[in-house]
Amino acid sequence: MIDNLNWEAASVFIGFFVLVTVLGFAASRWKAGDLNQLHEWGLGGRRFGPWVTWFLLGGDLYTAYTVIAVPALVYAVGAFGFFAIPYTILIYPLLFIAFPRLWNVCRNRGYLTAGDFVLGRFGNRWLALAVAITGLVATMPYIALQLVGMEKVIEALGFRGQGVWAHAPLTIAFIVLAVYTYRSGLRAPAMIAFVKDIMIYIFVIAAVIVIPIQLGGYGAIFESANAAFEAKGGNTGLLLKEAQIWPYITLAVGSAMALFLYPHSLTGILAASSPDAIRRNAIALPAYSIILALIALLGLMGHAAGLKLSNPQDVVPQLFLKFFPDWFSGFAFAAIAIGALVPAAIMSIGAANTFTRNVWKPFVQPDMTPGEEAFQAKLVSIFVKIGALAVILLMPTKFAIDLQLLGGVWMIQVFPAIIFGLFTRLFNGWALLAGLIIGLISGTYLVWGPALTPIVPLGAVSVYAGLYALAINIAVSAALSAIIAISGHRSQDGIDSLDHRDPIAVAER
Amino acid sequence: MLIAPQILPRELEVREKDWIPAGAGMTIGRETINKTASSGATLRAALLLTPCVLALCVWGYNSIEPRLFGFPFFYWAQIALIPISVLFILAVYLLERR
Repeated sequence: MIDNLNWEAASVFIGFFVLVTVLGFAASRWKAGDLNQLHEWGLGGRRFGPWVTWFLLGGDLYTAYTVIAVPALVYAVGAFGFFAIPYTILIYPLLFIAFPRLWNVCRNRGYLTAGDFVLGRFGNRWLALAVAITGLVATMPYIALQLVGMEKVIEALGFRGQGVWAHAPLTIAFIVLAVYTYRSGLRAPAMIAFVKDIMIYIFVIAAVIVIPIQLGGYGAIFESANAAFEAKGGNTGLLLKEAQIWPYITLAVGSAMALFLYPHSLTGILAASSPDAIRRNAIALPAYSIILALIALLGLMGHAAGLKLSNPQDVVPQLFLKFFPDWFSGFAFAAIAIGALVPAAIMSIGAANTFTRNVWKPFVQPDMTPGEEAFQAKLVSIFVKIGALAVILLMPTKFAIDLQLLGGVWMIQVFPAIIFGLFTRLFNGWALLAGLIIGLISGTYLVWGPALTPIVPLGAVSVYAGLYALAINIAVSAALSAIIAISGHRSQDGIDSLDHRDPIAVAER
Repeated sequence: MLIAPQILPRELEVREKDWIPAGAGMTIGRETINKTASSGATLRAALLLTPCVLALCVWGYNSIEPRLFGFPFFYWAQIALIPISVLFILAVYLLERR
């Protein structure tokens, strides 16, 4: 089991793991608040200023799975994997324009989730339920994938377990995570994110300087990657093939539209202390995108280094083992593993807030006290983690990857309810619900096939299925809203239906 | 803390003057005010949209040449666009603060 263990790397790895565990528990006293209130436990009391938000959202959005999967895709297919770059360019104008506004409404009304907002805006609890369930179902496989990222680096440390022991380190890490998340809530990942993000910056900058020096510079790296792709053929290469351009564009647009709708992204945004903290972060967060672009290049370095990998997801760990001393590999692996813990904690908190607020409270136990609400959410955060662990332990990894892919297609379907809802009253709640359901069904239908694929044909080109289904969703929502309006039914306004008219009044309040 | 629903309605009253951006000149007629506010909004929207359009003009950067430090254009152009997009967002931020 541990015969092949790289002791030097493993000690550094374990050392950092212990450090963040201590931080996770200590975090309960940071910016102290009554953790028996859901907004204190689940949103850190909305007290995170621009700096904390920068680390928290950076840790939340640029996850361990990203660090493993983006270079893996670039290693496997080349240019197409770079869609992550236009994707991360698109998200920040959207963050800047829409989310300070959402923050205002949520702060003034005491909302914690997207479902809360939709209920307040459209007065339709079924639409709120549909938005909440979409978020929950899309988040679960995402948490599971964080575990995949973590397991990759534990494997790379040389750990080979048999039977029940195969997943022992992962299970231990997750139990520890569950306990301190239960205790400290969002403050735990916020504090750990400082350590994680600084470590990621260090290891990425080291990698993009040290590895190219040993491989003869970037020119040589691109040359050998090009040779490898030419030998491989198919839809691979240093540039996009003609047929890949529309998939590249639509995948970037669709992923960008979905990103901030995930419960964990919203949790990070709503935990900010002011709309200005969010705007400043729309300016400062792209620093992580540069890091992501550099990480993507590691995929090409894999070819130049002559790595022959059966699983492209091993490219980052194997590069580090090949080019760095063991202690630094341990450091980089710890950064990736901690990079899994932070989003996993925020995702489970976001899911717990959503389940408690939009499923359990309105439909099962309407008379919950704030204390009961917080307790319920803490329990749910544990169940969510057990669920994610079970998916990884019991099912093939491919299952989680496929589900996460579908999750993205599903998540984007709540875009009209939330983002259009922020800016206009033209849509009717029931019409949006119909559009959402049809979007979910058509998106799933489009992706489903002999092999699950997010890229589907549309006329002469291929496009991202999520965006295709969203177009159907919007068409249905708009048509039904028009019919309802013409037939003279007054739309049922939520209690805050006027907020969209006075964003600045709300902002200054 | 959750705000009790019964205290909401009064807070919800839209105060006309509040949603006019500061500095838009409140003494001039309402139409002028709205026009000022909306032309500023158009400029801000255009500024935010520019980096998005650039990022999606894949035909414009899907090429090897010109290279920079060994990087094909496809790679360095997209990486360079990240800080450029920040400048556009920063411009909007400063316009709003003015």
